[in-house]
Amino acid sequence: MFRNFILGFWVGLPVSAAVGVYGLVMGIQAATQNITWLELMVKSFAVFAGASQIVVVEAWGSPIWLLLIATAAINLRYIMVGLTLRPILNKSPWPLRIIALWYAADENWALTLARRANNLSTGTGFLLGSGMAVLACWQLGGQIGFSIGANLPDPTSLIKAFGFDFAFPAIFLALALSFVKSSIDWLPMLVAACAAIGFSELIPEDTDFQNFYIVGGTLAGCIIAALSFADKLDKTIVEVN
Amino acid sequence: MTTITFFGFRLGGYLIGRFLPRHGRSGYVLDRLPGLVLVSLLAPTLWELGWIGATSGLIVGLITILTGRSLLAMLLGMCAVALSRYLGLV
Repeated sequence: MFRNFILGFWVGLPVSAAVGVYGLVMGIQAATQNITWLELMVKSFAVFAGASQIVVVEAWGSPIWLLLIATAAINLRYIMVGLTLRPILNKSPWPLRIIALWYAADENWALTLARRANNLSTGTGFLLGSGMAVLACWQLGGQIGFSIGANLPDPTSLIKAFGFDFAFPAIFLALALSFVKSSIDWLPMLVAACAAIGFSELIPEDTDFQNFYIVGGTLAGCIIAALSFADKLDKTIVEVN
Repeated sequence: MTTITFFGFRLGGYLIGRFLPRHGRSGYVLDRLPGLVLVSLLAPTLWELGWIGATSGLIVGLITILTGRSLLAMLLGMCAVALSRYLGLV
């Protein structure tokens, strides 16, 4: 368990470096607010909610039902994240499962499952270790950003100039490809990608429901995967006969 | 409240997942779910980046498939994007 934790932390560090860059931007922005470095650190530890945090701050003052729908719209994909974690977490004690679920961010979740696909010993320790790597890089980036504060002219243009904004799509694409085990897996992937693009184009950007494209794309891919399962069985039967 | 909701969705998904069969059609779809979530997450970003997104995505894909090194793929993809911007191609 401890060995898996250390391994997760070590393997998770390079992937988490991209998170550190975004932490840097967050820190620079925080430096312009009336906030101490300690408050920033405690907040980053406790709130591991990313985009949803921003939306709730923006929607503050709206009716509670609207606030709940907005949060749900952004977080809906995390139901799917939770759905996939059963084989990873099942052998661990409940307190450890809860902590690992708390720190299951996109990056360490994807990394853990991609590794699990080739190595069945990958479990809660790895998920938690890589989650700590994400948290450490986020914290480090935030504190560095907070220290340099307003001395850096425009962090967003620097991120674009060095291609850091492509870091997440690139690592997610590389991890997604590790789930392709046979030629039959390409079709659901392609359908999910096309559906996600379609949904993102159709849903207006300034609404709280913009992130529904992730759920929409995933569901479209799942339907095709479920249908191709029947194809796979038919092919196996034909081959056996 | 946000943090609790955020965690609640992951916990809820995990609890539902414990009752879903891990064999047959359901297990088959669940095994493919992580890849489908990731593809749905990144596809619109690549689309928005236009041809540079497609080219860099192709570089990442090819390097991942040929070498199996996702970090190398990420770095070269980032370099391709940075270079295109530096050269004023986008």
